[in-house]
Amino acid sequence: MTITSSDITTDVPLRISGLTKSFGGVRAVKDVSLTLRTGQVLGVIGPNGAGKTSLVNAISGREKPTSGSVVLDGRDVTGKPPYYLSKRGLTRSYQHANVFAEETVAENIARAGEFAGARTVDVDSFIRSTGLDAVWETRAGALPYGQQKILGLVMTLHTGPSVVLLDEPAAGLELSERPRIDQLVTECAEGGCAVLIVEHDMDLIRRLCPTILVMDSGAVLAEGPTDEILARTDVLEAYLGTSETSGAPSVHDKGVTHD
Amino acid sequence: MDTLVQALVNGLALGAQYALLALGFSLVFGVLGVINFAHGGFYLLGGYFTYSLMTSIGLPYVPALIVGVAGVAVVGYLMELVLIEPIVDNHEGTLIISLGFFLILSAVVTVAYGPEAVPAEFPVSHVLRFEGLYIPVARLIVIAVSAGAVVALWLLLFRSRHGVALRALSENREVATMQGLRPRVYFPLAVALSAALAGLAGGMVTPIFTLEPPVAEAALMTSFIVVVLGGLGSLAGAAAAALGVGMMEAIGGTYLDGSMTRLLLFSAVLTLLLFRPAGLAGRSLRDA
Amino acid sequence: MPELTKTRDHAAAPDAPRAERPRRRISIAEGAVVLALVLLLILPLPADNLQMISQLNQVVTVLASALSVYVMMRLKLLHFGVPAFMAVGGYSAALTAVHVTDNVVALVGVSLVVPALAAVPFGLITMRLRGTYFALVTFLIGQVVYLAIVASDGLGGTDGITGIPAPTLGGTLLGDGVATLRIGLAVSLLAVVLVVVFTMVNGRRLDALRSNEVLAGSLGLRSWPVRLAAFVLSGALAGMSGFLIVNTLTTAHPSSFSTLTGVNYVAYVVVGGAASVLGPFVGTVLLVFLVVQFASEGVYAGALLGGLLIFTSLFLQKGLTGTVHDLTAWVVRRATGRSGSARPRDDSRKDQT
Repeated sequence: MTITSSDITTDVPLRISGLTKSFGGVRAVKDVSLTLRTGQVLGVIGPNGAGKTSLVNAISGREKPTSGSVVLDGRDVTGKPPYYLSKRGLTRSYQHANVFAEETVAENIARAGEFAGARTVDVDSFIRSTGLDAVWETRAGALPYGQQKILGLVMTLHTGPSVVLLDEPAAGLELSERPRIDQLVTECAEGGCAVLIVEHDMDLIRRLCPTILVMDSGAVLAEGPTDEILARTDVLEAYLGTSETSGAPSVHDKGVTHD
Repeated sequence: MDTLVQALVNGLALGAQYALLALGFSLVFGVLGVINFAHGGFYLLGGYFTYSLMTSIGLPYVPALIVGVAGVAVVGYLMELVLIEPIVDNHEGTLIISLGFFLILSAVVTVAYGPEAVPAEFPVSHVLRFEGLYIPVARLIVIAVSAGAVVALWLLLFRSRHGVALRALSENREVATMQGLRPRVYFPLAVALSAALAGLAGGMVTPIFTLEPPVAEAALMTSFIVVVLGGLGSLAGAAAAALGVGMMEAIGGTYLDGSMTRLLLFSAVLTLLLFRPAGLAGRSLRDA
Repeated sequence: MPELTKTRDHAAAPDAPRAERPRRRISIAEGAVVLALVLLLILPLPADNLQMISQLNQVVTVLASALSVYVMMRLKLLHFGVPAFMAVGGYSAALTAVHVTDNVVALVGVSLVVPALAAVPFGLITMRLRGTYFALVTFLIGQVVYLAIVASDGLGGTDGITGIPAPTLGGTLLGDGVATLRIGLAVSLLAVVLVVVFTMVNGRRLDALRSNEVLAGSLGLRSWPVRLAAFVLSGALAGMSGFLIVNTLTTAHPSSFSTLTGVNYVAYVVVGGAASVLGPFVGTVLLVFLVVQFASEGVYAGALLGGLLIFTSLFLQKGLTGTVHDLTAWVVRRATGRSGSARPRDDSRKDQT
């Protein structure tokens, strides 16, 4: 357990070094390094298949990294399972709506609270502002897709993370619903959380992320201030050929990662 | 030394039939995600269909075997189409259905032929005798035919268009479907193929040993242990494990007690699972 | 909803103060089962109707095994290794009765504790196995234990242990048919109570893991302690059933615990339903009754069971109790004219086998 003394005392809750994930012959994540500071909101963009979701999976324990390290609050947590990371403050949300479908919204939130234990934070304001209080007794599976995703986000934040990885939070949401994410992310970051957002919605990225990281074919292509990066030709070229419309809902298939 | 050589030959023969069984079982799991409890039943039917064709219409052994195997393939095809397909994505449900089908198959066979062993006989009873070795030609034929079947399967899966389709469906069904491969066409075929392999093993081997209803459970148990050892989802692993298990049983059976060998084998595999839950060559289970 | 009035305490609506740790109350269905067993236990039974006593006994000896399967089914795991732990319990009790004591409490205790301990190493093996792979491996566990028993001379090998003395309580010998049945009822009652308490205490975790294990994990729930605890309880329940079988036959014989019998206990829960203990109860009563009807032609019993399994899996995925519950709820909704959308607290379980 290597603890870097500087990490404990300072404001770098998450440090990723040389993270690589291979599936058989395919390297989905190639030697990715990044750091997140307290309160930072970092955007991660890239074309489909760039490895963004695999990166989130490798950091959050859903997949075991092939090599490299994940250091959370100065502690090496590489390859630990998701519950371990969650208990230590690193949680993630899912690209496809992931809720307890047969239970009510209320029960979903209660579970998030119970499983997170002592870390739980109050999310009443989120529940009200996102309109979840209006469907408090509705079965989560009966909610519209966008609302299920919002519920998932609120559950993730209810666990009181210090680092949260959001995997395409806006995917499947109507354009009008997307600003709801803004409030969630902003308040979370203001409360000290470090946020990493994987997204295709460039408007959302521009609104929320002062800095972004661009991935292509599993590796980091560029990193830096958002406007600067988005003006680079190599970044634009990496995106050419993908006709991603930011309003289109994704395929509802739990558990399938297409990065 | 002679005993060892004989044990090795027996081991190869056992391993060869286990390979047919395990490959079929693994194929269905790989392509459909279904654990087929009726697999032992296909083995059983292979034996009984062959026997039946020989005794009722007097077909010689080889044609009877071929037609019998085709018959088992049809049974497998229909089972998938009618019973499995409606809930193919429900893994627990399809397991239970295949179990129910196995119970029905066993009952039908017992009612039709009785619970005692039937006098099925392998047509070749020559024995090769040289240098103190006693090798029944039947075993050599089983090895040869099984090896041929495995090679044919390999060619199908790795050198033919349909094989590529089956493997694509096995690796990533969503992507494969998006590329135009239709599961509804391939799933029944995969089960039919797996049934044919089990039926072939059954049709070949039961006349050498014994043909009676309890044989199905033994075949099923063998499929399980081989596939778990080799790794669920890995065909190469299944084949290698099959040979290994066959060898171990033959050698163990020669020098030790038969059920003791099984006990040791099963215990060893379960202990292995403690350290390698995915078996020797299986896919990682974290996101299964 | 008429049958299940499980009130689930949940996080309070945003305006109310934060909810405290939720407790579940026992549902009507589960209460009914407990009540039925208590009544049968204390009411006088017609001692001269040997056939009825025997048939009731047949149901009661295997009820705990069905509950053993049920506990794992709450995690959507199919446990085919129940005969193994029945054997451990049965043989432990047999050895105790022959060599140590015939006190019934001690025998029940042994049949509970020894399999629970034995379940720990096997539980560790199966903990990391998902879904149907778990089912396959439990089948192998059943086989290993069976082979081990047959191979050991100390356990009588293929002959088993015969001539087991009848249990006693205080000075009373509990050897006749009625006494055997009452022991069975008492043990089954204990089994039901254990299961109800376990599922009440762990209900939320069990449900979360069954419904969406990935999500539960990323919210911080560790799956392995729950699974291991369930597996150990499952072993204890199976062991108690093993004792009852051995006690009824006065013999501990391997054939009572053959691997394929594991299919029966799974069938009781699949057909009955796995939403509450009422499911395995109904499944056991119904299927044992049916098998008894076919006692002379055992082979048809197999076909019937197979057919029932297929039918239930295709059309009654929640088992009999689940289907009846849903039908009743539907009828009530139609009768009271409530709309079907936004159903409040739907506690039916959609993803049972």
